[in-house]
Amino acid sequence: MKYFLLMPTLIFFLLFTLWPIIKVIEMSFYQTNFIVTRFVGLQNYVDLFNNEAFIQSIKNSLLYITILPLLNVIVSVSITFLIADLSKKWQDISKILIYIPVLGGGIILAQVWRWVFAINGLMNWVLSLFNIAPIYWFGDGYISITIICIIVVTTTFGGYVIMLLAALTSIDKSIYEAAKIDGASDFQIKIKIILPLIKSTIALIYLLSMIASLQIFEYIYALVPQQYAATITYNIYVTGFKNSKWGLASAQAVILMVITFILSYFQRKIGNESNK
Amino acid sequence: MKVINKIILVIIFILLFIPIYFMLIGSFQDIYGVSAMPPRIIPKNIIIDNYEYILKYNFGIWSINTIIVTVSTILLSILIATTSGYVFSVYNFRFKNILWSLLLIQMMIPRISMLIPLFVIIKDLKLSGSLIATILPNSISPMEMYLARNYFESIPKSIIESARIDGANEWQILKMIIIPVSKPIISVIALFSGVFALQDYIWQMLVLVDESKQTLLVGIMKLVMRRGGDANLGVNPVGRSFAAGIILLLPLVVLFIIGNKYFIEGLQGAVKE
Repeated sequence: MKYFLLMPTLIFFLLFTLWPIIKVIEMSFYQTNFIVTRFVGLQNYVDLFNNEAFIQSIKNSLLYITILPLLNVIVSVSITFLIADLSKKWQDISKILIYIPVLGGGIILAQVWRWVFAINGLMNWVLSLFNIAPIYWFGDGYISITIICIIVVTTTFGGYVIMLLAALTSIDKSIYEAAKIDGASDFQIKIKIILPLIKSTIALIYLLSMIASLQIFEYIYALVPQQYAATITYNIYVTGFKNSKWGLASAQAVILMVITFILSYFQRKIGNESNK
Repeated sequence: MKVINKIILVIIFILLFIPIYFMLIGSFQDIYGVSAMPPRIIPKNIIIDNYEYILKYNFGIWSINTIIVTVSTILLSILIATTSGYVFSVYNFRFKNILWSLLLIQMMIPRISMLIPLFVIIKDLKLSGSLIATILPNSISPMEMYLARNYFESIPKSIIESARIDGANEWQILKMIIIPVSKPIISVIALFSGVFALQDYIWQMLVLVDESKQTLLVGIMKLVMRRGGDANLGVNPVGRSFAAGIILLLPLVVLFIIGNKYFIEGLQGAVKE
């Protein structure tokens, strides 16, 4: 019975999880465009050290990973505190409204963000009110990356707020009362008592956001298809699907896999410790 | 205090919905309407040309493909997540913990690192360009298995034990006890996988090359991303891309509004240890 019920999962796991993982490692030792294939050993990995596009994408990814998770945690924690004090009706409506941009996140909302940051778009009009000359927003790496981080935050924090609100409801209410009797202010309670109690959820959000920032693809694809804004993910897409260098793309995919694994491991450790 | 909270929250929501709002009204405007600055907050001379442009292509077949992909992904996801979640919560067997960590390993693997080899694998399986290729790999989700297992763990074991003592076999337990109380978790899985299928641009774009096999997401995006090429007078790339965005956002929002209770429960379930 139990083995019968596990069959579909095992078949799908072998075909679409395990096989790809083994396959991508294998592919990274070959050079192939599907017409000519030859074994090259570790050559793809060696080549990456001198690959300008790859090194740039690593640098960019470091920038994304520095800005995005921090911004996401600050925004979602602050908004969670705003919502948490309100009545249940307000909370329920907020949870629905806050999640709608998440549904359109990626290629769908990229359509309107392109207009917002166009040369004759909304942001430049706002600047013109302050007599600032129009800016070519996506003409520079740093500005593009910052903008993309902000866009990603607006289309992801909704889910995180819902998770944080769930963590808050599991806190024992008597803690608040005790702190209030001791004369702690509202702000003090939030910072000193509540924040440490939801530390593991915050760590989880930070981790999810970190992994997500390595995987930004659609906004770059739709808004700034340039090397100076590319994440590792976007560069892998270009190397493999555009330039047909599948071995080189696979080697990058393996490196990205390892980086993500290490990040998840550390984050989990921090999460577990804060639970103790 | 609460009044200030409410005011700040309303301002945040207004800021959050500015892009979607301009996308909505811009989709009903001509090229002069969408490029007017200051931007029009109330639309003038409403037109539906942008929608006509999109709807006159393969909208029918793309819609059918989208329904096939979404519904199949949902059904397979329900099958996989509920069966595995149930087995891992109720039964004990050798290597249970190792197998469980293996099943969840995909959570820690970036999507692109899976898509590069998957592209080759679906070629080996002779599935290139087919709708099946976009359905199968998306039907196994560690997140959904995790939520399902948590859900089934919350059913008291004593109920199952006493049914066993009363002589019920495993099938009867499944049919009489488990399935009747599974509606919430099935709804959560259905919503998560459905939304994922409707949002999965990158994989569908890579796999579905043939126009008659495309989903709305890929087909419509290709229509509005084709820029500069046919810059005839009166062509309105911005308005069209807005109309495309609205058409693609609509099914997602409808699905979410219908099932938001389950959706939010699912997200909250991801936090509980």
